[in-house]
This record gives sequence, structure tokens and C-alpha cells, in this order.
Amino acid sequence: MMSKHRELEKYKEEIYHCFRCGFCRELVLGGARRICPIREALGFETTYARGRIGVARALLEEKIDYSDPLVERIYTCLGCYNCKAHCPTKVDTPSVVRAQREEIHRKGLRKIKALEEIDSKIDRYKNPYGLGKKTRSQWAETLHLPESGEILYFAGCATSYDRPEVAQSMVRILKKAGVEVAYLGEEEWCCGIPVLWNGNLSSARALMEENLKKFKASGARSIITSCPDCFNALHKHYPSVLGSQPFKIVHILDMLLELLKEGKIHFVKDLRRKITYHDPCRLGREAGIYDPPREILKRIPGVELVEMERNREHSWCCGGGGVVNLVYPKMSIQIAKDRVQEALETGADTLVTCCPLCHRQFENRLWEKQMDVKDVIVLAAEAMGIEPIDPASS
Amino acid sequence: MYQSLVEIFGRERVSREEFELLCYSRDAGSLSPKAPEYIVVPTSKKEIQQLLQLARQEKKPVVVRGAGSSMCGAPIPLVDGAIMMDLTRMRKLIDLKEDSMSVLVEAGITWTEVIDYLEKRGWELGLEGPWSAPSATVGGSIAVAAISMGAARYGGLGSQILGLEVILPDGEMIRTGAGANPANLMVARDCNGVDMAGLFIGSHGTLGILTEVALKIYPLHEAEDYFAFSFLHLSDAVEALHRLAKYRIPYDTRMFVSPVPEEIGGKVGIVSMLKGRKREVTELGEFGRQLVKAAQGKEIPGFAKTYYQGRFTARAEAFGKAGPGWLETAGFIPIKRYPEIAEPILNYFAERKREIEALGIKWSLGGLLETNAVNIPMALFCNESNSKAWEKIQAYLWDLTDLMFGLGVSPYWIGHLNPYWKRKVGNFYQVYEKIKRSLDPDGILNPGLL
Repeated sequence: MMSKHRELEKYKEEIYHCFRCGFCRELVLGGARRICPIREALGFETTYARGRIGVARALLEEKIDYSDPLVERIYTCLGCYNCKAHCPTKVDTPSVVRAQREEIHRKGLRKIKALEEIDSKIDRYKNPYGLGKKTRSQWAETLHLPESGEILYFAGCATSYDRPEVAQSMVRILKKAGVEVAYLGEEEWCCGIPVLWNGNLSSARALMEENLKKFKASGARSIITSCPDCFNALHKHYPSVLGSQPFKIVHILDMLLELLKEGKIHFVKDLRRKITYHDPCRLGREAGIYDPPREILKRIPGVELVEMERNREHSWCCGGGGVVNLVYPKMSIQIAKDRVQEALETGADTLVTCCPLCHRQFENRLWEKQMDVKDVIVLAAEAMGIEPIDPASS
Repeated sequence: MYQSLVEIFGRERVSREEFELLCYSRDAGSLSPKAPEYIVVPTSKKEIQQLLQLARQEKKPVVVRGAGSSMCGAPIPLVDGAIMMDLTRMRKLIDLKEDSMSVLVEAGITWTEVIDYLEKRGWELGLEGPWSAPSATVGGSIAVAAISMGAARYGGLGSQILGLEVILPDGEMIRTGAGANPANLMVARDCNGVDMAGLFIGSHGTLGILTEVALKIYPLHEAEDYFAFSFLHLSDAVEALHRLAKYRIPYDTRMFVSPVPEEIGGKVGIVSMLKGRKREVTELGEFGRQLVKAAQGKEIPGFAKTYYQGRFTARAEAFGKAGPGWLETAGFIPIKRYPEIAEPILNYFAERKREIEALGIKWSLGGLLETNAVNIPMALFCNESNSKAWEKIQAYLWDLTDLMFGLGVSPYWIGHLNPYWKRKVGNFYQVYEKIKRSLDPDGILNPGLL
């Protein structure tokens, strides 16, 4: 008999593969130094993967049903994939959690104000910030980008509204390499990731369908992203929700490294920085991109790259994923603070990442600012001698 | 009760949510689980003492849990209405005493965290904990007397314990061995007359709550060697095992009877890890190989090193997808008696081959050398979503438990086997019960177990 939990049913095999070994609790082995930031903050079985899978199984077997406290617990998962990376049987707990959230939303059981607000902003403004269309494309005003072309840049909401300098640097690096990108401008909508993680699959699907129509109309054959969330959306979730798509999805760091190797771009400026690199969960554990940012940074003159104790697949989350930053901001910031502390312990003067969400978490002024936070792309542009665009001009 | 618990632990470290209770009602194996009524997560000894005082007043059972990675059901309540104490937040590495070659840890720390800490400072443990060392807590393993990596050289966990700190059911805290003297450290176990640490090793949380453990440490080894051998006959493999034990060759040795890893082949396989000083390892390696070859073993290069280098995850990786329904019975027998136990087990499975294959049931039979004895683990796996298979492996478990114990195997952990095992060993348990009544007259600690 089919369970009443139809979203979870898709992950039944996954759920029954959990061996209950508990390695996802607090593994200290190889480079791993603990696994789940939420478990470290809250304790209890159901705050980390083994318990989350236990809950999913109990739901499937109809031993329990969703209650308000359970819904709250399900929204504590960061989706950082550290559990999956260290699971001997590779149980995909974040996907199981996403399925639970879809179910909770579909059944109208989600009573979390911050998430209702995200839904409403996305519904109205097509971005999670509730900001206008014009602001979205302001970063590109002086760059005169075409709306159509073979290579399309998908900037995404967080980069457009929060980190315009990343988008500007990226486009200007590519221009120097002779690569012209098209940009949808005001017509670009949210990639869908915030609503995918908050459980509103119908909203995510609508955004995906609309973006896809525009991608097709732009004549694009490749889509470049700089935001790891957008990269995963286009690369992984669009095909999973809408079926396979005729676009090559490229993350800019892969492309930049190729351009450097081909000699199409060059670093000319000595930056004199001691840098530590934070692997965003979405780019590292979720997409498997670990080496390109490091190789790019190492090629910059005057850069000394030092690793944090937890790096690559063992990296500690910034605390901002899985909409936890919206639902539990205090806990989210504490997790970011722990990561900044780890960065400070390296003796680096600059914490570098390439995710606008991680960047925002690390820049938070709730603690005294003790190191610079920079994006790989911005540093690369600086090393190429590209002067930043005066914010007043855009 | 809830309010009283909140007063001790704070709201954020007490739960009575059904979904939480359910997740604490399983370990990695476990039969017939009962959900606890409350979960508490202490972070201090004082909180544990307060809880025990409350439990005594209210006559509430208390069950202690480490990682919950055992297969024996020890951290699962056997009675209704229990307060479960999750000790995994008491996980400090308190002190490394290089002078006295010991490390003092809180009981909730994991084995691999201790190993990692020591390795960075040029030290190592003798025993590395059970198969689940990356999640298993030191205290939890001691409470079930778990067989550990390195048992071929060092034997049982007790051989590495220099002292325990224990909170008794009446809230009194004691230190065993040399540490009982406030002017001394926990540097020796056999002091003050009776070996009181021994009372708590394998006691399954029935007599007291382990809070601190002092373990022996050794200088980090210089060299390692590994070998794997394939055999055509079980009797030859057992002879080889006996020779390795007699001459104290390996640090760790495992025997595969079924399944035998493809890389080893043959009817039985043996893998060994050797470690120590360079010269010692070279000599032991040469001698060990001679001994095993003389017992008709065929050396298989490469496999043992790969196996042992992934030793902390090997078992979970090997059997993870066969489960997650996992039931196991294990115990000790003199090395040379191994075939007497193994053969009826192999026959039992051979007679049910068709049924086993039809239900997708997997099983394994092996051997773990522990100085002068061999531990014989017999494990059954199936996908629990297949209820027929799950019911069937529970029936197999009891058949095979009966068979093994009837032939003289002695279990090292008891867990859910206890009511069954109690009938077999008579006055041993009568004495155990007397000790229990004297230390825990209200019967609050893990009461269903005895």
C-alpha cells in the first residue's frame, strides 16, 4: 500500500539504506572535525542525519505524523551535505529533508512567518528580497550587455542585489578574455532555490519554467553562473523538476581556470594577501568543485593560500543554507561565527569564498570585524588590474 | 516530571516529543524496542547526580546512552516510562598525562576523536574501539565490553583501563583503582583490594554511570605491516589463527568464513595488521608469514593493507547496503573449538539457502582474535522494509543464539540477549543481582536488563 507521504515515498530506498552507524553525528576522522552544525548547536538525535532519517522512516511507516515541533525540527537542516559526504552508504539526507518540506508545504502545515514572507516576495517581485526589477539589473548598467547570445550569464538574486561587484568583475574578466555574455536583465527571475528549500515546489517550478522560456528565447547554448546556489539549481534541480535541458551549465570558476591555463587572461598585480578559502557547501560537497578556486587563488601574485582545519569535503557550513538563516537567524549567525573563528586561526588576513550567501554570513557585523571577506572573482579581477566600478556610477 | 527535568537541564536539553523518543528507541541493531518517556542531555556530573536523585524519588527508570551504535540493544529501554540520558555532550578530552602514559577522557567522547588527538602528539591507544569507533563513545563501549580493534594483541577493553569515574545510583561519585586516592591519578587499576573497575565493564549501565575514563597510551608506532591469507580448509585457517595467537604476532587479526572477500578467495580468509617498532614489525611479519604458510595458507598481496587502512569504515561500507536490518550474536570460544561452532552454523544456512536468497537476506560469519580466544560474530542483514525478511532474521537469530550458546560460546555483550542468557549461567546472575540490589536498591538503572 502506498504511504500517504507521497514525496517521501520517492526516497524510500534511500531512507531504508541508513545503517544507523551514527558516523553523521560527530565524526572526527581524516579531515572531518564534527559533521552537523545543527547537532552541535541543538543536540538530540533528530537534529542530525541519523535521526532525520529515523523521522522520515517513522512517517513512512505511519508511526508518527507531522506536528508543529516536528515541522520546526525539519526546518533546522542546513542542507550542507556534510552528512552525505561522510556516510558509508551515502544516504542523501538533505534531499529527504527537502521532500519532507515539500510535503509540509503541500499539506499547509508550515506556519513559519519568515518563509511565508519569502513566498510572498518571490510571488510578487520574483526575488526573495522583495526588491524591484530595476535594482536587480543596476550592476550591469554601464556594461551594455546584449539580451541574447550563445553564452548567457545568469547572475541570480543574491549576486545582483547583494554582491553586484561580483557580477561586474565576472563580466569584465570575460570581456578581457574576448568572451561576450548575454544577460536577461530585469527579465531574469529567481532561480527557485529559496522556494525549493522552503518546500514550495509549485513556486519553484513556476520560476524554473519562466526562466527556461527566457533562456530559450535568448538563443543561449551555455549558461554561466557565479552563484553556487544558481549553479546547482540550473545544473541539478531544473533537470530533476522539468526534465533534461538543452543547455550547458558552467560555473565561472571552471571557466576562469581554463582561460588562465589557455593564457587568455593574466594576473598582473601583486595583491599581498594571506588568504584562506571557504568551500561553499553548494559548490564543494554538492557540485564537487574544490580545485578551481584554489588553483586560481594560487596563481595570483603575492597570494599565500592557507587552509582551514576543515576544508574541501570536510568544510564547515557558513550556517546560511537550507533557509536556516531566515528561520533561525541567531543559530545561523553563531555557526558563521564559528567558521570565522576557524578562519582567524589560520593567521590569514582575508577570508575568501565564492558564494554570496556565505559572504553575507561572514560579513555580518554581529562580531567584531577582524578580517577581510572577499569573493574569488573580485580578487581575480583585481589581480588582472581591473579597477572596480564606482558604485555611484551604477 | 517534565517540569522537574527542565529545572535540572533547562528546556533546551529535555525532550518528550514523540518523534524524538522514537529515534532514541533504536540502536544499530536491536529487537523489540521500547521508546523512552523523556530524553535528557546532561553536560555536567552535577546534572547527572540531580537526575538520579529525582529518579529515585519518583521511582523512574534511567537508561544511559552513548552513540547508540551497538547491535545489542543495551542503550534501549526494556521497560516503559524510562528517562534516557544521552551522554554524548560530555565528550571532553580532559588530560593527556605523558609522564604516566595515560589519557583521561569524558565517557561521551568518540574513539576516533581520542585517537586523532593522541596521534597529533605522538601517542596512540592500545585498543581503538569497536567497528563503530567513529561514532561509538568510550563510555558506551566499556559499558557493553565491546570487542575492539587491536584485540589480538591487547585482549579485552579492560586491559587498557587504568581507572573509571562512576556515579552510582545514589548519586555518589567514585573513582576506581589508584585514582580512589585523592592524592593520586588514575594510573593503575588493581589497587585498594578489589578491582572495582571490573564491576562496571560490561555492566550495561545497570550499576552506575561512567563519567570519566583513564586509558593507557603508547608511543605512536613506527611501522606497520599487513598480510592476508587464503585457505582451502577451515581447519587450516584455525590452525594458522592459533599459531599467530600463540606467538603474539599480530596487532589485529580477523577471519572471514562467509562471505570471504573476493580479493582473498578460497574457503576462508585471514587478514592481520602488525604494528610497532620497525625492526619488531619486520621480524614479526617474517615469522608470522612462515607460521601461516606452514598451515597451508596462500598469501594474497595487497588486500590486507587496503582493508585495514579503511578499518574505521570498512564494516559499515561492506554491510551498509545489505541492511539496515542488522541482528548479531557474538561471543568467545577457545580458538581450536571454532570449527565446532562454525560448521553447524554453516549447515544451518545451507539448509535454508533457497529461503535466504528469495528474501534477499545476507549473513556473515567470521572470527576476531582476542589474545587466547576467538570471538565468533554471526550477523544477519536484510532490508527492514521487507517485513517477511525482517521477521525471518529475528527467528534465525534466536535459533543460532541457541545453537551457539548451547555449544559453549560466551557472549561479551548481553543487551537484549540477557533474559535468555540469564537462564544459562545460573548463579553468576544471582550474584550479579545481589550486587545490583546493594548498589541500586530502587532498581532505577536500566531495570529491564536484570
